[in-house]
Amino acid sequence: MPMIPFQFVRNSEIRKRLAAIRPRLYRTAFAWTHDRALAEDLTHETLVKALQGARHLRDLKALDAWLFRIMTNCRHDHYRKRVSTDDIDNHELIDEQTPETQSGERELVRMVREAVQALPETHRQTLTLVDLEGFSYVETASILEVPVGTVMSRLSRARARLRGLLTAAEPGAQSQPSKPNTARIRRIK
Amino acid sequence: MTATDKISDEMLNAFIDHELSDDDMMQIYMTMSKDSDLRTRVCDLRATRDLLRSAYQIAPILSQAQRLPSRFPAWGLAAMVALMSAGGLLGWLAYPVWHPPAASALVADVDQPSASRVKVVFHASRNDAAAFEQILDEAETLLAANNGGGAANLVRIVANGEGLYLLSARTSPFKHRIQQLNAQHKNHVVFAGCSQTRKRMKRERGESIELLPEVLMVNSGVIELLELQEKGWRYLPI
Repeated sequence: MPMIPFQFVRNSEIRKRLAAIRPRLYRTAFAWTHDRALAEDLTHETLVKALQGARHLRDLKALDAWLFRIMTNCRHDHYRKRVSTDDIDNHELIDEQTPETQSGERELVRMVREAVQALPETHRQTLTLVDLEGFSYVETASILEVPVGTVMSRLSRARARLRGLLTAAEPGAQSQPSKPNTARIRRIK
Repeated sequence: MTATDKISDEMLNAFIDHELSDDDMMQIYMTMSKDSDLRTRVCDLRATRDLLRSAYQIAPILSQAQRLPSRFPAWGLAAMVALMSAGGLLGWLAYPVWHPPAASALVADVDQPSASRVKVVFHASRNDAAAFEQILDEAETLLAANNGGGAANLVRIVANGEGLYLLSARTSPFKHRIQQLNAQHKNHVVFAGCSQTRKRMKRERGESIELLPEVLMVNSGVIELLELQEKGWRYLPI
């Protein structure tokens, strides 16, 4: 029976986990960009960089946070390069006929996504890492390379802003200003 | 000043995220029991968080837009134990530098009638004609072994990055050979090109790469490689 090198087993484990985490990376990339093609690009770039750098990862427990940090950097790179998000190819890939657009919740989903998109990028990243990915404040701080206090303040402001946007966006909010705003989100839920 | 005023928004957010110490959590629970405003604030925060989660709960489509055809039958778990010993130092360990695998190692078992089916995915990420030629040699050897009957060997050749040029209708030096391999072993070999790379080249270099007609497009070469390896394919990069 041939010996299987430890490194091979480790890399095999990484590959399995990369495959498993891919949908999560994409979901977060989508929440950051609200652009399916760009989200696929970010996911792809993240995986490519992860594969290239996998040997440098010492602790597999840190894999998830490491991947999201890579994706954060990829996102920064996109900003720096000022990559156009209006690529004709991207438009071809966007299929609006999705199950979500056919469901009864599509209006609410659209409303929330628009509100998230309206948040500052740094707030959006913090919010999605905590709320969608379930990273702790410490992990989020590590991924975004900011102090924990910054995560807390960004999160607090992001949620407050999101709530304000959702309240304002609720149908009828403009026409019935006398209604107390505080009740609206609870009613949607 | 009410109890609610004393608890900052940051604290309350940390409370709903279970980021506070047990003592602090208990303190807020106790305050909530007496303060309806605080309960409202907590409720609003949780509702906002739940709304966010629900908005992204439905997968916003992660597509391999043009999948490889499922013309290969389902496979078992058996996959190239002999290759792991002979080629185990290749693949991921050698990435990104590829040393040509020992051809004898690759074909050693497939020459035996009792050999398990071999599934190999070759990965071309560099525009290296010499290395690619060796890939084609290895692929040919593996596929030629299928003529002996028994379980067939399967080969995929996935190109992304600069490797896409090797499958380009305009620049590939191997057009004839790819065409020939595909014609002779069309049920057992697939050439695949990465759509992400193609898009990126168009976007960043204004370069439009037309792939050979034998090449199937997958949305992401990397993801294709991950999925194949997940299914037990042996990975050999250049």
